[in-house]
Amino acid sequence: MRGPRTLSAAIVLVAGVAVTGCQASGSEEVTLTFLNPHAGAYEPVAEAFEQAHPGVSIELQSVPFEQMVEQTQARLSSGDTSIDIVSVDPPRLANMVQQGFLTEETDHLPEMEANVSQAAISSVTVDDRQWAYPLWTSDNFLFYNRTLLEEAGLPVPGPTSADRLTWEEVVDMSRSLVDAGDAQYGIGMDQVDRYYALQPLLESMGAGPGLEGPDGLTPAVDTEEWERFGQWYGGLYADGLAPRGVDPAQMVDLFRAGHSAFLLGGASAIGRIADGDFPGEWGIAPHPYFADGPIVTPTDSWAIGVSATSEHQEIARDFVQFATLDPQGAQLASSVNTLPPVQHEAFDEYVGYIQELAPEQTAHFGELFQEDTEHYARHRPTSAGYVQFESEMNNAFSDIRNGADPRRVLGSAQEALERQLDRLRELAAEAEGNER
Amino acid sequence: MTSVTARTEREVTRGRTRRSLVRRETWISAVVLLLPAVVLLLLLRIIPTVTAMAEAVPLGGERSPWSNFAYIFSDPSFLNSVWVTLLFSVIVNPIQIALALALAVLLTKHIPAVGLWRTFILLPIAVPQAVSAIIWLVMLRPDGPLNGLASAIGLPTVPWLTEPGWALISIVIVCSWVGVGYWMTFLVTGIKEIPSSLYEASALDGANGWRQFWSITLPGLRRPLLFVLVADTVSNFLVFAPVRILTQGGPQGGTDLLMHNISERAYTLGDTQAASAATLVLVAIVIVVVTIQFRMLPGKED
Repeated sequence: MRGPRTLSAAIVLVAGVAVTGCQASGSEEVTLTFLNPHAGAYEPVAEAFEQAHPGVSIELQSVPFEQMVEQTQARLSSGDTSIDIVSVDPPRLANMVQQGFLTEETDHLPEMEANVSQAAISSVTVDDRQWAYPLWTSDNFLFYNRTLLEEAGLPVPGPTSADRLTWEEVVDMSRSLVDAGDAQYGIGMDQVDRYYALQPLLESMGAGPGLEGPDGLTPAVDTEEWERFGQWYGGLYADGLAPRGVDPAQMVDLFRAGHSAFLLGGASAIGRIADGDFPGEWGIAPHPYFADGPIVTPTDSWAIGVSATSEHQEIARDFVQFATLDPQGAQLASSVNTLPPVQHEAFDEYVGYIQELAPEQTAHFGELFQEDTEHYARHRPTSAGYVQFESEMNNAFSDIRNGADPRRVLGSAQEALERQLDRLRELAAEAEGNER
Repeated sequence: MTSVTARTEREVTRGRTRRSLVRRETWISAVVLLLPAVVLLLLLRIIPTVTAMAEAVPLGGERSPWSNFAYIFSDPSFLNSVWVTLLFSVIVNPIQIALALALAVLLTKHIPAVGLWRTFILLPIAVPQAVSAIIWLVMLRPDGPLNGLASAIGLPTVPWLTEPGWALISIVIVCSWVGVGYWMTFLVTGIKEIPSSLYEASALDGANGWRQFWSITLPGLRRPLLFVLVADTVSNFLVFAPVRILTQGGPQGGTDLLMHNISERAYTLGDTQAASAATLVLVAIVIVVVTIQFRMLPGKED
């Protein structure tokens, strides 16, 4: 496996260099602008690319995560030619494609297939065509404060998939810790109120993903199962087992300071926790599931695309391919944020790196990640209406967390989504009519 | 006769030429001086307004030109947003102006270290809105310093940003923290312009401070007050950053001010047509409210 993969990667790289060589010699300096929500993350890969391509410089424009959607929407919809490369959140891809923001990359499918998994390719596919290059993947884990658990005489969760706890067990432990005053909170979530983190819980409880129908434009968030989840989620906060009013950016710190016994968090939390002066010992356990339901874990992460309005698409594509499909490039692109790259060799390197960060805690990290990805990962729904869906649901989860009645919140979210998705269809039909 | 007429005619013509020359020069300098302002006005105000109108009222398509307005007015989230904006306006403007006035009166009295107090009150303006909102985000957390202080002195804790009513009050507080000091400076200047002889004379006649405030300070402040009232109202209709950072319009739409609602439509949902329609509604509301204010506070004496 390794031989042909490396070979094709090398071909991609050489082809890239050859194309760039022609461009750089024929024309003067080129500056590529890369709009992304990951401050600092792409500096090493941009530097390596610049060194290999004299005359090309890459300007990294980083905006906060929350503003990425707005910035992309505002700048690409106005035909801004100053952006060449843009970070793409896979569930939003269909919407970006519908608006014509990205170049089609189907011609490069063979290179993708040689370097990344089919699951990763499917995350950048709309209507059987590819529109971006997958960079990272993701998974959530249950971080726990080992010292707190041991002192309270509670069992310490095991590290492998076979030791996976149920949410019922996690909630029981949290309750006994909070009731006894051993911990301020039981559970924090580094993506609290976000659909990404809650979809696995919903689906493990037997609920649907919330968007249904062949085109994914039929909302279904007021079902009995969704409501049951809403009651459970609101209950965590009403009972003081999880903190209200703490936003995602503050959650890892809450755990790191010893204020919460558990943290449902992604791999990027490992670096942050290992870095800090954690009071006592901590550990990593698999993502929990509900006792009566299936195991479901989250997946997918940011991809990178080439802007359809860029004036330097070829060289921009070379950079994107270098950062995603080239083993060394993908490794560099994942070195700052400690997010797992989808490129096969780079992923192995990444696991090694994570194990250096926290050797004890991550002994089973690699195999757990693989097992979750292969057997339990559930993609977010692919739909041109995902943007509407996600922003409405994130608000709904936040309202439920703050104590609003789940039935009422989900009912009005359902109505709002029906209205917004109807409107989306209407506008899309009109745009199509105009094109004709 | 003829020669005289001819001469006068010639003089008249010459005078006319000179006058028209002067007039032309005036015109040229006026155009040159006004050009930058007119260009900016066009670029930053007129063209965007026309674009917004064109976006909001689609002509020539299959849909009715008013369909975007029909859509937003049938959308409960927009109607809620209009209601929240008006409610916010009714609460925040009187509070800010009353506080600014009270502070202005206080700080024009002979109190020790008056410059220091004025600086402290003005300081929040120097902090960027986004930064101050982030500081407040931590302050107002359920387990944050404000509630910590409250429980330390035996007061009940407040669900600042997690309950719709309190969240709106939190936005009022954050906006006022910045706004009061700013509006105060205009009123301080206004008070300083009232002749001190009026206060001295009224003091001789036995008027107390309260009487002086109602009969001298307030009437003397009519013009700066009108300005502060109008400008403050407009700026409070356009509040955005604190909402974006502190509450994102929640909980349950309780702080979804129109500016935030519009920005969500345009930049999160990508529906610029509905966003433009909503913008025009906001502009209409502001114009109506400001017109009423002008009517209510005429500066006729000036």
